[in-house]
Amino acid sequence: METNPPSPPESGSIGDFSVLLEPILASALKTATFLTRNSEDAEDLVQEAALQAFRSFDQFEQGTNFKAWFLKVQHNCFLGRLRRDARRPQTVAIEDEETVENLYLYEQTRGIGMHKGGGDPAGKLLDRLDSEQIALALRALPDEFRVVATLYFVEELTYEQIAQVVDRPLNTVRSRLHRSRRLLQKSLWQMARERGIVSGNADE
Amino acid sequence: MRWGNTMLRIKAFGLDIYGCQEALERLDDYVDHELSPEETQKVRQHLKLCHHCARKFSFEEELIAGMKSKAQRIQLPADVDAFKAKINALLKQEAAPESDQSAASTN
Repeated sequence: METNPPSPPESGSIGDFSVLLEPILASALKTATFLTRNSEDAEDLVQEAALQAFRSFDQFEQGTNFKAWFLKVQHNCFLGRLRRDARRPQTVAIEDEETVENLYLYEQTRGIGMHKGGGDPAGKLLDRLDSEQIALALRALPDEFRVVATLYFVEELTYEQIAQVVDRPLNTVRSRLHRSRRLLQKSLWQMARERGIVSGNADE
Repeated sequence: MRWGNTMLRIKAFGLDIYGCQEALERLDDYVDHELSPEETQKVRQHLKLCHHCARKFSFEEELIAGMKSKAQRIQLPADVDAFKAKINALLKQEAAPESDQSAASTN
């Protein structure tokens, strides 16, 4: 005998919705902070998304990933805000100006001798960087790169899930994500050099 | 390059193994487990044979994993519990419009 599928939540009942929303609110807020680059705007954005998601909760398919669904609602709210501010998502400026080669940090760390004596050069570099520097580098990315990179690094979504959230083809997401990783590598290296976290004479 | 020639010879013997270029093109997708099982296998075979690429791949894997775990530890400036309470209050208000607002729209 087939079991009945869970009945759709009653409109106006917050129980089921809250149970799903509560555990993801902190990370949604973190993501929103990267999207808006401002903690006040981030709270407004999550509030708007929470209301929007609650009103359209009947469109959520029970058993699918609630976090991805909510982040999609939040992403649409974010785009709406950009439109209201008459600002298109930034896209190609950095892309055109800066082509960062693959394995940027590998080459830079090798250039200053961090690979000598074996060990784990990536780990050595990471030991000297803290979360705040990762946050600064993420925040500095242009809109379209920042969105996918945040969903990847902060929310740990897969390419497929990111494509669903931003409603873009998988290959677009893939190439944006790969480019954003290179930009992040460059920006982390600049920070590391400026702050004297790494030193050496071989550079650029 | 000698290594390239070696790879070509291996291919000529009928073994379908990636060269450095083919492996490196797949670096990002490999690190993210986004390659097909066949491609993953071929990259792994290449890495077993080529320690130059193996070093690059392991650097990138370590780096991305480390960046992810640091990204998880980024602190929020906001008071999350207060924010959760605020959202809850907002939802309650939305769910029971007659308490605070006119019951004009029940969807």
